[in-house]
Amino acid sequence: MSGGAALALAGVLLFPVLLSGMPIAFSIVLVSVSYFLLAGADHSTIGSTMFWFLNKSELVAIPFFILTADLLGKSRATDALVTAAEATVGHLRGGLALVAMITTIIFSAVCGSSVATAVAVGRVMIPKMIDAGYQRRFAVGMIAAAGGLGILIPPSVPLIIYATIVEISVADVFLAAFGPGLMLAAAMSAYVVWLGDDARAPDRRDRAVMLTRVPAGKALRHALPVLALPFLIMGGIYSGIFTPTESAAVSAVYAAILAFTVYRKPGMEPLQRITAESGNVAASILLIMTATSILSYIITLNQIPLAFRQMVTDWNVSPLVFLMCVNALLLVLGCFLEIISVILITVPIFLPVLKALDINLVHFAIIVVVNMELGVITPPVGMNLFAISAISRTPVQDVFRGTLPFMLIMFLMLMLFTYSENLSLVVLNLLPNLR
Amino acid sequence: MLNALRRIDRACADVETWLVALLLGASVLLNFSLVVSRYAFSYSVNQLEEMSVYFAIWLVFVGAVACDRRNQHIALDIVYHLLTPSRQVLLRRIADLLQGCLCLYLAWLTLQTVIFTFRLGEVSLSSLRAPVWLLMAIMPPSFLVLSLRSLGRAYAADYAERDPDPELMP
Repeated sequence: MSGGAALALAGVLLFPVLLSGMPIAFSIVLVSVSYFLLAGADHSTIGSTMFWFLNKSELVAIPFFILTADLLGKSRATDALVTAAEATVGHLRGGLALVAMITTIIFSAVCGSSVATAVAVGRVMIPKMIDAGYQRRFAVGMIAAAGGLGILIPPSVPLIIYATIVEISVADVFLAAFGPGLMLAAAMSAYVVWLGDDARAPDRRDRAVMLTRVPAGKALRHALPVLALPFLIMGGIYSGIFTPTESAAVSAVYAAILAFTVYRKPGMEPLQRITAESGNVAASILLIMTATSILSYIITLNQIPLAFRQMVTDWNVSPLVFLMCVNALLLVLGCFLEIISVILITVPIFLPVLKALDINLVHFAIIVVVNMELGVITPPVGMNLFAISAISRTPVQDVFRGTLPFMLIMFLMLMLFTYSENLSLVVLNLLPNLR
Repeated sequence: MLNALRRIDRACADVETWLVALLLGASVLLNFSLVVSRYAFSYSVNQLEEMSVYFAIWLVFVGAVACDRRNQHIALDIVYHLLTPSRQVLLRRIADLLQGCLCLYLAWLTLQTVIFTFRLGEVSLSSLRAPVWLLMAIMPPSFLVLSLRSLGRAYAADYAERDPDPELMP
């Protein structure tokens, strides 16, 4: 069988295999092995492809950032952030919803994963918001959607993966992502402020919400060690003190010290267990990545990226039209595939076209990650929907309905970022000396 | 026979948990000590960074085995939840059978790679000059354990005892 036909057949095979419930990593390897067998190609390199793909120091940052998030999420660090946000902005219009947004933004700046952000903040904020009379659907939808900021506001696991594939500086992508991340957070916060008490159940709107009685100064002082973490990570990278991987290691050590001293929770799991949990999560992500590297190898072997570039240049497509088409494709793929697989499969195909159309690779990183933010809250494979559904005992469809207004905001912001490279790269352009 | 296998499986689970924690912890500490040695002692040990990468590679394959036991691998279970309990078991058995066969094949394939690399005498390009076959040697046993576990599950249809993901438990 020809390579193209074998690849098409393997592609068709991917969806039933994925839907069988087999882990995504093994489904991808199975389809890749099927391709090699159908095409009669040499597949003795599968093992070495997997090994050499993982042999990159940038990827080591992924388990470190996951460990940092787990340590802070399982300690009282999130409670300290919530209390600080509650004491400072809780009395403003938007109340607890705004507190949840602010906490999510800060947690995103220490955590590289959307699910971890949504779960850490959701565990504390969802019961609090529901007690205060907020409609359950709004509370769960807001946390699920805002959790997506975890992958846009640096540090971010998908941004590390993207930068590794296209071979650009992780530090540049992190710096650039700050602007869009904060703009998106501001747009979502503006929406909850605009809603004000309308987000609460009609019969609870006239009742005052019990806020923390801790004075703002004291609450901020208590949260100061965790508030310092984003500055430690980003400051360390941009002052040239650490590489991104080293900053991830330093943040993990710092988070461990905080979790077992300042923010220790009674009955907290031992360090060895938390580390093992984080290691397992990191392993499942990295295994998908290494499995997808085989699929990427097959795609490259069949010269699909070059054929795709030829097709796009023959059609004389403008960069903006191309980016809009990419948005449409990523939005669809984000509904059906896990985000890391989407990045690993599509980005190598897009790469030659991006270069041919002279599209800034950092700008494209922002577009990809905002699309993936939408992917984590769109069924049937929206990871944040399932995570929030599980921790709040709310049906997935209710969580999804709750995310809809936020999804619209994200979509509008995505269009803006796609249209305007200057907007996407505002921080990078304002602070060129940090590059 | 099956009970003895289960006891071995549980003992392996403890080893896996410790090993994953050890590999990740060591990798973090190696990178951290790199920073400390650079700024506190003005001395940079570049081999530490390379070693941390190798620990992370081992973490992936040991962690893959641990994730399988704890049902923590990322998978799409939309169809699974739409089925009746008996069909759910059937679907799991098919998926496990496929996974078991695939992992057995990967164990054999990666063993060939390790042997080939050993014969070639390939070493890492850095100053550490670590033998590559040794770094790759984690792949065949991890795929073999994955295969045995998946095939064992498919044979016994023993799905009730699998631990759910505690992170997602209400």
